[in-house]
Amino acid sequence: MSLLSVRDLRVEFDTRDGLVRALNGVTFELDKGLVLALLGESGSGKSVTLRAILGLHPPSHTRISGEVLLKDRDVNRLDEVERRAIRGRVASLVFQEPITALDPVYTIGDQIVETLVRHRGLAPADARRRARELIDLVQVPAPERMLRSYPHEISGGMRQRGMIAIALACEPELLLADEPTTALDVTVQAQILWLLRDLQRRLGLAVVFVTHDLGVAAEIADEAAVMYAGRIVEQAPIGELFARPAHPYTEGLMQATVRRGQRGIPLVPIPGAPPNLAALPAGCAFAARCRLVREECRTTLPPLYQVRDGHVARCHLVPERFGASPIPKAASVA
Amino acid sequence: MSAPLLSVRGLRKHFPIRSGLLLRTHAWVRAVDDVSFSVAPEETLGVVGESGCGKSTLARLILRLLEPDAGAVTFLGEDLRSAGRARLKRLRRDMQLVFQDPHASLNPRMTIEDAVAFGLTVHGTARREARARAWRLLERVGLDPRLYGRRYPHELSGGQRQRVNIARALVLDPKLLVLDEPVSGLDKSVQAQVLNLLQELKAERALTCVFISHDLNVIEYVSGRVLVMYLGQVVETGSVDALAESPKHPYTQALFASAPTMDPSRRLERPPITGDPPNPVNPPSGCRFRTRCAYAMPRCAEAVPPPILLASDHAVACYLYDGEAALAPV
Repeated sequence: MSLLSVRDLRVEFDTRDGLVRALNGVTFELDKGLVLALLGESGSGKSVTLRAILGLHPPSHTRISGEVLLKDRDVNRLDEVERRAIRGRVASLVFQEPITALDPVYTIGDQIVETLVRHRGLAPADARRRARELIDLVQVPAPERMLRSYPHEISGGMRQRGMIAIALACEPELLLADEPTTALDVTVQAQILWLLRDLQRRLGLAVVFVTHDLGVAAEIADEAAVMYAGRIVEQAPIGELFARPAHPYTEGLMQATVRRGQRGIPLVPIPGAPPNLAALPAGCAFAARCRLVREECRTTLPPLYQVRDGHVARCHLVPERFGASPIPKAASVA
Repeated sequence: MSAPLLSVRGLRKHFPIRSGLLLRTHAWVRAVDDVSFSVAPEETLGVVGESGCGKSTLARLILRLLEPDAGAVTFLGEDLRSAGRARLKRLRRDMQLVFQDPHASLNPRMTIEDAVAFGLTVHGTARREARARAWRLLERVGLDPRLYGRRYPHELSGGQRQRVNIARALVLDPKLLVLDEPVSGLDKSVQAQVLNLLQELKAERALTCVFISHDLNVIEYVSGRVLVMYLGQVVETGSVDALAESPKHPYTQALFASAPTMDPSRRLERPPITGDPPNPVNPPSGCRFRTRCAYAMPRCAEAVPPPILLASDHAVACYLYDGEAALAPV
């Protein structure tokens, strides 16, 4: 049994511009103690996936189908009381902007204590002791001062450490991280990535790490799923993904990203822009931007093909480019 | 090096923090403190640094959108301090700024073609001629004017809006382009499109650029020379090759070492430095990096280290290199 199992997850938003199909059949599994990066550009559905795992999309204006099994319980079939019991204790969320996620009128210490009292039923004195332990866990140089500080009084990196301490307060097995280092400076990002990796190993956490940055995924992930227009288009162990990208979108992203030593070598951008999620094409959503496009791509949605063991890509050209065969439906991961 | 197109000497800007009933000044944000550099014609100077290092304030000081507290900006051989209003308006045709957030910097009620033509009409070009030139530029930056000219900024994607901003900055045929984080808010695939476009335009129009970014990879890609800022001060300058191959200042070294490798088999073993950049309000005395520096010595707290010239075009402001070479001429 996997800790997290997402099956054919679909999320649609009713908006003034029509029905926005944000997720169009997302399937993946995550075992204990592993880090999965959801990699994609804006609008690819990576944050929508993360919120759907905790059942955070408001029921009005949202249509959700498919399964999200957290420890074998389907989040979509639980009522709000049962969901609240899952949040924090089984899975908890770390946001991109801790300054908007933290409450500005309470100190960091109060916010950790409140979480412990409400969700774990600790007595205030015990909660304060535990809060201090949590602050030590996220490696803060001046823990007592940190506990007494309001969010605006500390730096962005310290705020993110505070956010992580709150997320870990109820000892979850799964951490959902939504671009937690995107708003930070690069020297601070390196520290937070290192901290998350260290905590993940020591506590045996599973992590779903949402990022748009290939470099960040390379630093933190065991495995990566590349998303485009609400679907996973490629999934592989992280080293395999960088060594052998099989989907033209993944290849395109790698060629479009500026790297060290790129000077003098023109970048190869991906032409055009992602499709409108309110008017998705019938075939492959990447077809309009793909350099290898052919007729069937525009009409037929490609299945996931196996490129190698544990490496799948949703592209009609995989069989001839990599000599792979489609995955039988029963054994399919999608 | 030929005569510089832009030269900045001892530039300083401190912002007062006022509070209380009488709005007394009780602290100063030392945004830019004694910054000097020059840019040769057709060169691209990359300015790199983290949040609060003063890079955006520097951009605004160069164009004299902000008045400096001290120091001089010399552009095309002319001291901007002594330029009157009319003269400054004329000089500004030759120096244009591209902002980070293309949404906030475009007037939401102005169509794309009007936004691009606006600068020309302000400078006295007839409307019909201004529109024709705006169309040519929109075409050049990859936006079909027949398709996009009449649209409003909210109807465009982030990448398209940044193209409009670039067209708007270039419509007056400037000599100098100051770009403040021009690709930061964009997705990677779109970022590459805009970076390639900027490189093409720079070559076509023989532009001189000051390119400001927090992203070291982008800076390394576009720049000939690089200036590294930390808390309002320049800590290292040099050719991009010198800096990339052997960064000297402990901060520059940490900056390079902190960037993700894009190689899962070569992950960071340990974070190169600890702590966040301190608040630019009341920064540390002496070398401002000393609070995070592994090599800090007592003398680092005493006085700001002067720039030390290590090679003809590589200077570092750090006492570790004291005695290695001559002091850089100011």
